[in-house]
Amino acid sequence: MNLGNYLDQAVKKYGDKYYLRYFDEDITYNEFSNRVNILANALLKMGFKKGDFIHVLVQNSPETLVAYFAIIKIGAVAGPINGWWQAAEVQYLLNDSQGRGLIIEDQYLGILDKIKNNVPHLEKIIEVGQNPRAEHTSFAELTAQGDNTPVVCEADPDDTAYIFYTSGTTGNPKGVLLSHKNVLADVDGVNRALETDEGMTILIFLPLFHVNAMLSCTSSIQNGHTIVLRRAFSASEFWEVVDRYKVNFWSAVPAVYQILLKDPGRQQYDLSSLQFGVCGAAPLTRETMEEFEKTFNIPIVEGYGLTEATCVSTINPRSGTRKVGSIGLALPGQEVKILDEQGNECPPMIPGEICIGGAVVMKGYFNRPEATAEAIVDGFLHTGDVGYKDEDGYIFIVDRIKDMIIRGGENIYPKEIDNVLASHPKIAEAATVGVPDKTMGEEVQVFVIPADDITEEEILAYCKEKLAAFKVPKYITILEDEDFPRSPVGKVLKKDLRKWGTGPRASKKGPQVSVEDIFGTMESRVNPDGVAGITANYGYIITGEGGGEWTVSVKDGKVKVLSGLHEPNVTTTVSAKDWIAITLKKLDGMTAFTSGRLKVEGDMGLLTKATVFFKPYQPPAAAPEVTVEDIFGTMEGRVNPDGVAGITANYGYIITGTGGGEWTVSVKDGVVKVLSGLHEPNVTTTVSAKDWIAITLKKLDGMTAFTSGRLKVEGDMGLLTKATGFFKPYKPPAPVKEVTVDDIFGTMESRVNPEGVKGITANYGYAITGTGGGEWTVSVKDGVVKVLKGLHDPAVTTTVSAKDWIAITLGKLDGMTAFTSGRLKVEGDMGLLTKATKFFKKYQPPTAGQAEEQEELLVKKQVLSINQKFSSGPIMGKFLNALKEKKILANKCPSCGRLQLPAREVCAECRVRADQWVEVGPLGVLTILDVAYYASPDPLTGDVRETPYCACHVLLDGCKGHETLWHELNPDDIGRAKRGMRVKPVWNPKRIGAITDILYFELTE
Amino acid sequence: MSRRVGICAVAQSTYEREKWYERFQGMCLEILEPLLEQTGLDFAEDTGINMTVSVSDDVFDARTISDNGMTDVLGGHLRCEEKIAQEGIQAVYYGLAAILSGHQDVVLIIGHCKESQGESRNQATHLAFDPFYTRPVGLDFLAAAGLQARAYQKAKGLTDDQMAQVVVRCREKAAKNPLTQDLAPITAQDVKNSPLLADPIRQLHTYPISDGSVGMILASEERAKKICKNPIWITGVGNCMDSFFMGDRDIASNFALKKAAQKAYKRAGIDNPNGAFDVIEVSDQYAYQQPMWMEGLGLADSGPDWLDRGGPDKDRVNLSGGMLAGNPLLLGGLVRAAEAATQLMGQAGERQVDGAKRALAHGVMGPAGQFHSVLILERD
Repeated sequence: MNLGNYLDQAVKKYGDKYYLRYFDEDITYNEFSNRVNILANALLKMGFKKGDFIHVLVQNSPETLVAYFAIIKIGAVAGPINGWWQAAEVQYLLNDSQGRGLIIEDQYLGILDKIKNNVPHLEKIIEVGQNPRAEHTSFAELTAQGDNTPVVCEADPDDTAYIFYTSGTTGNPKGVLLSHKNVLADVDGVNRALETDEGMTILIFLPLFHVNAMLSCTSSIQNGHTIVLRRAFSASEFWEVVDRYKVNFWSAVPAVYQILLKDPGRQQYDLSSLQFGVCGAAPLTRETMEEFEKTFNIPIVEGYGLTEATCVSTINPRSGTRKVGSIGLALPGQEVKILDEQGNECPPMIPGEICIGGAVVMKGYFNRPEATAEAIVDGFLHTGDVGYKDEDGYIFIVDRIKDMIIRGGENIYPKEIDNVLASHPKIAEAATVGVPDKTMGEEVQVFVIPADDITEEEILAYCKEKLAAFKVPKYITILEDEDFPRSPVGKVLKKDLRKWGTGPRASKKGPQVSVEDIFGTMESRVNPDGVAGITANYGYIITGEGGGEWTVSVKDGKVKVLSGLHEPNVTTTVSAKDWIAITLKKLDGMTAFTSGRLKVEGDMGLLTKATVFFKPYQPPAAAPEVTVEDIFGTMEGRVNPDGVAGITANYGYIITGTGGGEWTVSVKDGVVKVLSGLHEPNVTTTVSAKDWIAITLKKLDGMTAFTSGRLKVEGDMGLLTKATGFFKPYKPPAPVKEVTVDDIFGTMESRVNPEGVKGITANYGYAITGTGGGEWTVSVKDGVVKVLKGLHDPAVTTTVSAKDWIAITLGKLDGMTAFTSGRLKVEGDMGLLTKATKFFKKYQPPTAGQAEEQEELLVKKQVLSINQKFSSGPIMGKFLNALKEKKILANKCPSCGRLQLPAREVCAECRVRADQWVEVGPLGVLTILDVAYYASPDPLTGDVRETPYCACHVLLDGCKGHETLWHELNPDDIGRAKRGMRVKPVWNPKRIGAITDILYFELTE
Repeated sequence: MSRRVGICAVAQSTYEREKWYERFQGMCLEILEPLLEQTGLDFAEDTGINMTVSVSDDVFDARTISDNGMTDVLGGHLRCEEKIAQEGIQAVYYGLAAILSGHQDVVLIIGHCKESQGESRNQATHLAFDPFYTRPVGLDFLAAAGLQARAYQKAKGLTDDQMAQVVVRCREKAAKNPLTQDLAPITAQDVKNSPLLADPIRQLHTYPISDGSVGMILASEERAKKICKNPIWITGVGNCMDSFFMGDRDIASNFALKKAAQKAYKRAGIDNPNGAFDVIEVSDQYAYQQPMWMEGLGLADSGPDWLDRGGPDKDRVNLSGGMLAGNPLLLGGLVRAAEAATQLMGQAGERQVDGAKRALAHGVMGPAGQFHSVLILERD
């Protein structure tokens, strides 16, 4: 028996029954057989012969199956190609198999075009599609009128019927050779296990380029089943299809069941025909299985198999005991063993490698005897999967030896992704793992050690370019200064990597954000408007490492942060990790709440108010925010003498929004003074703080801001253009190095404020506790300050933690608050201490060292403008002037009689002056509407414009054909405007002889 | 040249300080209509004009790719239209090439420029310089011309008197050209008294701002003979582009013009240019350029002395008044070619040279004469 005879037998038996029902095409067994014979004869005529590899790259359709069987009937080998593969992958396949023929659907021609010069073995191409290219053989023509003489398949059962490419652990796909015998053995096993009756209807939507759908379509033939074939899975039509065709069962992957469970559309359909569903390719979760069975009242039969063993090797029996979580029992005719490393069978419940024996085991990998020998030992296929059998012989999968990821039923080999990513110049090394996913079973996550600055977007774009869509990672983690977990020999331990999770990795170099710091800086971050009118205690129980309990007490616009819980009106419980993430806005508070990661007890309403209490938290070592204050504060130091030479003027600035204020930049005799408030400005600029910062940082062009109305100018505009040259470029504050207590004391002597220390003679002792702490004495005498190590006769001693001392020095923690909250303790003459606050000029954190500027790359900004005046000429002048009188004039070509609107000098077609005038309209009829929706503000330029904009062609009364006036339609009318509706012009009350004298047209009703 | 190409018709508008009453599209129509009328041509696809070469400048027009907005008045609608964004005489070269290549038999050329549209001509030519090296020092074509005039004075001893003489003569000739601006006769003293613009260049040494348009029809020999009785044959053409960066050039040397002239003479089979032409039209944008370009053309080897020896009249140079009588910068050379052709056609009215058989037209563009074109025209 071979597959050809197998088909012919069924055709004899079931001839007039439907084999395929594909949209509006119903194909009986006879008709299918007829098409197969025609194509088989045609292939023979084209010169194909036994043993040839003929590949098929056609999406699910009758043609796909006709092609498979025709190829097989002439003794050739059908080679399905994965329709999701990219050109490079297809090219690899064609060169590996060296197949002579390709049957390709027109939608994949783009792939062919990219590779056709690099696949030297490919001789003949048959194209499936409406308008095949001249150089291809037309599939439709081959099968339309052809020789339908029955072709008897003369293949030996051991001859190869299919070559399916599947990825191996080594990364590159390998060609799995399946014989006629392999396929027929699996067909028989499946039908016996599923106990299918004659004449059932099966729904096939899985891709025919995988063994699953191929086998289902083949096994259906044995009992005269009808296949309802779809192009692909579609949730929206699924239940309707089940109802319409009275589907009895289908074969699917876990993701399909997940999606179907979410679909409410099923209510309206009659699903009584359903008997069971098959699930394979990946483990189904217990939850999904139970919920599905409960909802649809049909069993899901879970199975297991590999391409290397044709398709299905184990399955839960349809009747009899099904064990959830188990892949079931070996199919009739197959033997499944659990073998230990020595090749001995494991006793029940002891895991070992799942090995499959029987007629389903592939002939081998094409041209890879070593890989074949490795996979098939003593007739048993070593699957690489680890599992065990229970006492009843049911097999359970424990783990995979291979690190293969199964995403929505598709096998993904991490090594392949690792290799692709490693080829990116900015990536040093990548490691890919699968992470659990509710819908897809598994998702792809990559960890990347960068060789250079790289973003997730860049990695994603690279993957999308190089990999099939299903292999593109969902999660990307870029390691900043961390290595992968590795074995002693340096092999990446992916098992450990999986435990890292999908979130970002905390950087050791980056800011160390602590819960303590978040609460410690709250008082300095109070937003007065946010807390106005609130009186309440907010309790926080922060769990996990670095956690603790705090109370944020708000009263009369003041905020106190206390350690511990103190009569909270509302208490939030959340992990330290999540609290940090919420504060840094990496995690949305509401999401954390709804997902149960953040719990609230008490008056929930109070909590929502708390979101505006504080200004954003700045991680300690992050680059300081650019502030409007800093921009104005540094102006005097940035004066460009040449720019201000000869200018005497006051420039006022009203900077609106958060961080805004009013400033005056006063320029006189080459000297620039920046003053708070507005002082007799000659020109005043009003702009938001955000835009002002953007303009200063050159991220927004000032002129663009002006023209788009985001920057407003009052007064002498000419002065403003001169101001652009006043200052050297503003440099944002550099990221600070870690601030140390040592540095604070070390720089004190240089920061002495003579006024502050005048008349003071005293020793101030400081006991700074904790990491980085120590003891210092600040000795003040006769205006001179000495900082000494250790405590030396201090008149007053301050004891505080290093962390708080740094926070106080940086102004992030108020000294008095620290004192009253008990975090700062004072012994001795307290009065002296209050004087000490004025001893020193502001401490400037050390900068982290600025990056070298790229001297050789310059950008020069220049506004090119030449004042212009444009003449209308007499024709356009006449047209425009008439608009003043609410008249619309068209000029007429004396040669062809065409009217031109708006009027232009000549008839372009006749090349003569259009010198006759006709008044038309002003009412008319809409003919064409074109609507443009603008991004506003424009994400690139910030330009703001009205959107949508509707251009319309109006056939004014008195005009005909294409003599339309092109103008704007009232945007309010866009929704109801239709061709043929009457419109009228809306006239500008101030008409000046311009096209805008007509504001727009609008519907008359 | 293997296949002869002839100028069959020429049309020029008047040149005015400001054509306030017409937009540039209308100015082109003024050229298109008489050309069609003179030749009886139309735009039929088999027998008519199938290619238009326009001359325009995006900065002067204040429009990007300004020719796209005026194909109707260029006759280019649904036909081939190509733009020369270079001095207009290059359009003749382009049309010549199109015909010699065998792709076209008839080519229409229309150039326009409305210098009055922009507030400052110098602002426009300032933009011809690169933004890093030369714009920051304030260069425009006038400033570059000032540098060149000084350099030429130093090298060849050109005097203020000689320059004044060029302008006075130009005004006299312009009076006989009905197309030129209404320019009053002046004295040498008037020239010397006019405001200094870029030492030594004074206002009256400078071509006046003007609006105008000009065009012609070129045709292959076979077609030309059918279109008109006496086509004017293009017998020689040569051009040469010097360095853009002025620091790489000797601006007193006439390097590019000499090269361009040599090529043109060679093609026209002229061994000695002296006395070879009945009419010469040079693009003297500034007074100093007339003797300088004549020297570059090999027609005034002794330099400015040529002026004192009565060279301009003897050699029949710029009988039209030249550029100093007012043509837009962009059209200088194209107007020179049109003038030369008009002379050879015997249609130059009061300024006609009797029996003129061979003429030379010269065009120049770019700061301080970066790019020169020389065209030699003859009639049978």
